[in-house]
Amino acid sequence: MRDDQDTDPGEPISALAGLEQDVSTRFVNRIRRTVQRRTTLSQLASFSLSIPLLVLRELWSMLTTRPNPKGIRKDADDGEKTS
Amino acid sequence: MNYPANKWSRSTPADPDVDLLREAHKAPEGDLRAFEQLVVRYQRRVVANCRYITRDQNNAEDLAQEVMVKVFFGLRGFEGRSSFANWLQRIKLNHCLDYLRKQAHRSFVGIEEQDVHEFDQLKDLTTADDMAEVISNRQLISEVLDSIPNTLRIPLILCDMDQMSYEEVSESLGVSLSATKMRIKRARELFRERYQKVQCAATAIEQHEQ
Repeated sequence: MRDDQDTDPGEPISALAGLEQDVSTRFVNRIRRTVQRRTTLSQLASFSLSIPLLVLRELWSMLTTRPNPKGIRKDADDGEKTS
Repeated sequence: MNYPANKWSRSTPADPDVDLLREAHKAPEGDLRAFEQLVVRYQRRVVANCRYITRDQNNAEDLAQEVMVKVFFGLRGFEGRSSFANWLQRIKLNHCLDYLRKQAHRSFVGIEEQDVHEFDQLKDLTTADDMAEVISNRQLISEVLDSIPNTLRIPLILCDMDQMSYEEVSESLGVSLSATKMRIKRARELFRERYQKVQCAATAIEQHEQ
């Protein structure tokens, strides 16, 4: 990472390299929960966008599909016979 | 998620995180085990960085958490051109700098402002009780770091804590190389000077107690 390895800055600067901070035991759980929450939210958002589009597409296909004239004629014949 | 097998071939050969990254990518949605191992590996370092860059002890973990979440959602875009540690470092630094800018807007204290947290505060630590809190070396380093202004402290942290090169520090902060070198030099001098002063004060109080 460090290309120009200059002279060692010596103490106490070199102590900075090992400086770490204690982390609470819940840290990983908090990250997991945040990730899961955001994933669920993004899925909900994508569903709420895609479902209305899907319904509209179905409606459009129902409106534009031609009904089968033979099928209607057959139903009408059946009705006459039973009456 | 479909990732080409050679996605990580460009990654640094010695990058110790490649295997975990591969696992994290292959994992089905909702399976965070591999990513959590990466979090455990870097958490102490990330929290320390957030704490020392922002000087905010209380929000350091929250900041680190946001950094890790950003990393998780950014993993898909990570192409392995640099090491994972390097990439994480950039995300962390940008997040902390954004935080400092927001804080500056709120409190009207500029990021470029000198000595926000005055060194004089350290001089007030005259009682034995106060000094006892600062007596451990880590605490001492924290106090001295906090007393250094942003313009000097952040390059110092990036260079001597994160082990970044001058070029990387200069690129990350958007400052010229010569200015970066100068700031790091001044920061080191200031750090040494203040560290010695506090250490001398602590020793004097210890001797006085005896």
